Amino acid sequence: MNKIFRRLFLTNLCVILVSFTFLGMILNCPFQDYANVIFMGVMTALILSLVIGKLFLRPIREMQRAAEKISRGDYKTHLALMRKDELGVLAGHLNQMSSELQNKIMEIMREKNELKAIVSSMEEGVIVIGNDEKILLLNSPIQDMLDLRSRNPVGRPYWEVIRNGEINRFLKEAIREKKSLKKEITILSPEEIHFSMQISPVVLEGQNLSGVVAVFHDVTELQKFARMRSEFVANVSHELKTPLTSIKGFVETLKEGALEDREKAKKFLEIIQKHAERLENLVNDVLNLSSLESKGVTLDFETIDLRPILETVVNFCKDQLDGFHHRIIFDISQNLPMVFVDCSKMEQAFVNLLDNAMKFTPPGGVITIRAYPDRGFVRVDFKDNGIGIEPQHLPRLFERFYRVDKGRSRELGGTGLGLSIVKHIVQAHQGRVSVESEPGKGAVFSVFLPIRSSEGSMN
Amino acid sequence: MERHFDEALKNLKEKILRMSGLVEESIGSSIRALSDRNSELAYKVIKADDGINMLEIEIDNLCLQLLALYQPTAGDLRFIASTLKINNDLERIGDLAVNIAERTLDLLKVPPLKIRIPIPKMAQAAQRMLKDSLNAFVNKDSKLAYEVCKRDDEVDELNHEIFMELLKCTPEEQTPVERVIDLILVAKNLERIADHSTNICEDVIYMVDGKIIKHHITD
Repeated sequence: MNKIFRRLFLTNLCVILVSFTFLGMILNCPFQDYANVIFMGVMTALILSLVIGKLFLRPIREMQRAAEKISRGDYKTHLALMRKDELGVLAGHLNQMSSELQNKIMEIMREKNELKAIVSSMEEGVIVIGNDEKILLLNSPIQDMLDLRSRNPVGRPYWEVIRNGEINRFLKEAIREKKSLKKEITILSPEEIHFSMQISPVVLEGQNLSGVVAVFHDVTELQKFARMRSEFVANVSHELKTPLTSIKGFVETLKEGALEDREKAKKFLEIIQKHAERLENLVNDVLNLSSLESKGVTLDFETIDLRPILETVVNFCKDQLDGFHHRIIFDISQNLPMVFVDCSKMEQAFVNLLDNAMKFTPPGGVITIRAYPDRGFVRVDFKDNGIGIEPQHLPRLFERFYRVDKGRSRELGGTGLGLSIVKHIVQAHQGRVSVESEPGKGAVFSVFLPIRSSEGSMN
Repeated sequence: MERHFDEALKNLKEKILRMSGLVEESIGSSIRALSDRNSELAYKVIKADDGINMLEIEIDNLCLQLLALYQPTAGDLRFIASTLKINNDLERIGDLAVNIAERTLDLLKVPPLKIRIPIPKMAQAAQRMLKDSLNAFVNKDSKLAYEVCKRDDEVDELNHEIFMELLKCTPEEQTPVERVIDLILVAKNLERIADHSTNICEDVIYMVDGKIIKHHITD
């Protein structure tokens, strides 16, 4: 810039100097005057050059600064240059360029952020890989699913980031052959995850970008559900089959002659009766459970005090109790709040819990039934001092047909559905169940029922 | 020439990472086989070892080929040298996974021990160490490598703890005695995995910083 200024300045100076010299010579002045004229000429030239320089250079300097700012990414730059000449027009174009650039960049940023937000809010894991095997984009769910801990995975080869042989093999195949693939993948560690992986080729016509997009969908829950369902069917049929086989066997023995021996026949009939009862219990439990699970179940809610219900339950179980010589301790809080429950269903849940406690407590044991308010809930504890439960069984205890000790449970006449029914009944009342236990020290099963705070509404 | 070398280096890196993926999977599966008492999975681990062994030879050959053909220097030389050593460690870890799978098959013949011993915790720690050592390798992250080296003591302690816990068992719990021995061996194998992971980290530090920290790790 200074170069131009200097050149402009010198040119001006020369032109003015020469013109004044000629002027002096033409006027034919004496030497003294001549020197005077030259001096005046130099001064005028100086002043004039400065003025002209300032006039042209200031706007150019401003434009230079503005262009520098724009190139640094400051698109808000605006030149306030009120001129009608070429410089003014240039400044106008510069302004337009910067505002247009700003708009374009904002648009691109917005699109990019939109894309990023959409991809990262997806539940599925998404990864886009270019044909050069480098990762173009990936979202956070996939990083959790595949336990990816690499820093800045974008821009790096996928096989550096994903170290799963199976997945990488499929990705490689899809990239090489530009084809779609759909596979079921299982990862065992650190946690067992099943997912379906869908790889599809990405082609942008007319541009160099192409590659594959892989979408990972977590199907662990789905598989677990499918497995539970098939297990349920297998369990029910197995449970039904055992008593049926016994009944059939004893009936055949009776037919083949045992009927003549009254003593034996009576014993056999008793066994048949026992098994028939077990079948009946099982069918009832399955029906109960399915009616609770189907959404159509209607509960007969009423606001009641739990004390009479608990007393009924204990009376109901009295017959069994006599055989076991258990001691039952009632500990019901004086100011127990009212609850809003279906009486018969709640009774059933409590019977199941008490029955359970009695079965797994040796004769002469103590069962404590406590009911007290606990943080917005009425809590009912069934505590026993029986054999207890090992910690690894606790989380699955409320599952259908889950048994800690299969042989013993059946011997005691359990169907394996009791606790599952309790859980469903309590959940239908917006409550929850929990269990605490230590092997050899008994167990505490707790039911939490929401307190009915005022008429017509649940807490 | 230069381009060929880069291509070959990339190929080597892909292979060693494929190897590490296979080894990580083997360890994960063997631990899972033990905790789920799944013999099928244990057999799968034993079978998968052949593939790991083949890949080890392939990587060894590739490293030697690169050294002979291109005479690499500085960073490239350190990368190839480290890969050669990490390859060896990975293969050994693969063997340890097979050992755990074999012990699992033995353990499946007897009922599970009633008391809880912290083998799952130790397995998790060892697996995490292996994973992080490989992450350090991929990311050329010597800081992470130093950190993993320090975690080795944790696993050693757990190994000791498991050993003492099993010794404390009542004689009745200790029968059959093979069960206790098998569990001690599993813990020992896990401890070895952690040691090999430490080795990998030392190689990573050598590769990244050119420093040798073996045998006298200092802060």
